[in-house]
Amino acid sequence: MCKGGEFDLSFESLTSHATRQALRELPTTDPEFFAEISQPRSCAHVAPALSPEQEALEDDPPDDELTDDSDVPFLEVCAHHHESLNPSLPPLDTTHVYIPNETGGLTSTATAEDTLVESVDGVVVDVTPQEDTLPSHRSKRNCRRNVLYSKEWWVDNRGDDGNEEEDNNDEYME
Amino acid sequence: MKLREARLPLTLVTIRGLLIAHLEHFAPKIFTTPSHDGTLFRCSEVFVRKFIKRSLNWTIRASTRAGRKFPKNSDDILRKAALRIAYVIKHEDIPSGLVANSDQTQVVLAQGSDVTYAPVNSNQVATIGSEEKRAFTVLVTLTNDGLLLPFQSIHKGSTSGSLPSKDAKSMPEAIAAEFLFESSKTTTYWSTQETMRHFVDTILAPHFEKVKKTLGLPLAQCSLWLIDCWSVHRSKEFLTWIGLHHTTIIVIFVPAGLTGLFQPCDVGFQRLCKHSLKISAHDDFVQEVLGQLKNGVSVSDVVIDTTLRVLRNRTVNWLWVAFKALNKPEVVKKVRNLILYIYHICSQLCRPGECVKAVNLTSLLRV
Repeated sequence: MCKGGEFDLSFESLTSHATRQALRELPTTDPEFFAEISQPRSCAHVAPALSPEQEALEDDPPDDELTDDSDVPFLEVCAHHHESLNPSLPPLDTTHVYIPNETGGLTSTATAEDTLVESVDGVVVDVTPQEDTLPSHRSKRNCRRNVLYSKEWWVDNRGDDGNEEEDNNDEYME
Repeated sequence: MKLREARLPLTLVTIRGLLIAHLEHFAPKIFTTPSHDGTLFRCSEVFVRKFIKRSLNWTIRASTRAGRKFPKNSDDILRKAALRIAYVIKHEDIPSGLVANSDQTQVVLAQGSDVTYAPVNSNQVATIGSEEKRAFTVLVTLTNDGLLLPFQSIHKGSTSGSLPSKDAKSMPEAIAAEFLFESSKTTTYWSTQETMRHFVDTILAPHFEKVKKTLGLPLAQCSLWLIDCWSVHRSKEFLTWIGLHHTTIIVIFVPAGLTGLFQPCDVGFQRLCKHSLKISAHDDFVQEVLGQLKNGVSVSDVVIDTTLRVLRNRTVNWLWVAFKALNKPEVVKKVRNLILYIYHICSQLCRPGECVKAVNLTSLLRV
């Protein structure tokens, strides 16, 4: 829905009590704007004043329109589009096969579209995910060196009853 | 590969059409055999991208959609625009049926993203596609009470030879619906002073007069026409002409740069219209190839006609199908659930390329 602040372009909104109240308050809230819109209407229309950048944008807009994949059914696009315009309405129970892609258009996520087996240059290529060959109970964590006992507190005690101080300062572990 | 060598413009839609036609002819069961999650194969664009990448090493240039930047004070601008419209409606006592919005949109003849290919062991990437965009424009008009006025289609050229032929499919229906097919008489296909004036004289003003008569309103009753700030619209020449020849039509402009937020045709209509056109274009392509295969033409001898004349003639049916599908004032709002019901039915029956049939069912509804 086309929004204009707290209003929208539905006839109900444009003629609502809230809109007309805002119009009644305009002489005090925005007298300059009220003077602009309330001036007597002449038959000479006045074009809005645009900056050069705005003129360029209006006369050559970028091609950034939202497009949906051609396989998406028309009614699906309708349902999705109107849902996006009317988020307050309860969502339709769609198939959920088509979801918005990175550009915002709908694209298929159906399993039927997965290309798992195909012929490439005469060779059949099967990319069906294979089952893991490792026993299910075996941990798949990578082994790493035990570093729990690498601190200096592990004292070399090779039976030398010599200098106790030297014994305490030796580094036993690497 | 022959298509590439023939330098034909290839798009995702046309390649999908080729694949579907061949599968329909040689392996139709592929479309009716459900996968383990219950979905049916439709040869989606997702599938086509993966398939041609793996099989032909072609890549589809994905369309990018740059995020539009709106001014920081866009909320305030739009609020004022809404109040301006509300003031005019209140001051002139304009009913819903006399409020309209028109917007021109470009329609390319080759629907879909262009294809690029990178041969193996090559650093060169070539784009298959004409540098000159073959397209036309359609002027779409919506009224506030949900009515879609007849389309005005504008083609580049200066003579009637640049227009769809009179025997094009659905041309009688389009003419009966008062569609306009016009030459721009310039080197582009965008509206001109002449085409805009012709539109107002032939479609917009007569519609307003008809509504006034229906509602028992005087001829002096004013109407409101919301248009964007495009060059011809904001030109002094056009506005002066409107002021002189259609004194009861009040023109209000959509704030510059904010058509994506405030122009009803942009916000609520163009996406649906463009999608309908794309589906119709795809369907034509499938039928063209399938017809040849069914007539015994071998796969390598299938000829695809992409001449401007043929594509231009097909656009008449594209527009007619879109018009029928979308010219339903309350069909989506009031019968959402019914449309969804029909969709579920059709999704079980609809084959790739036959989605237009599902759309035609909605035209049987009367709200």
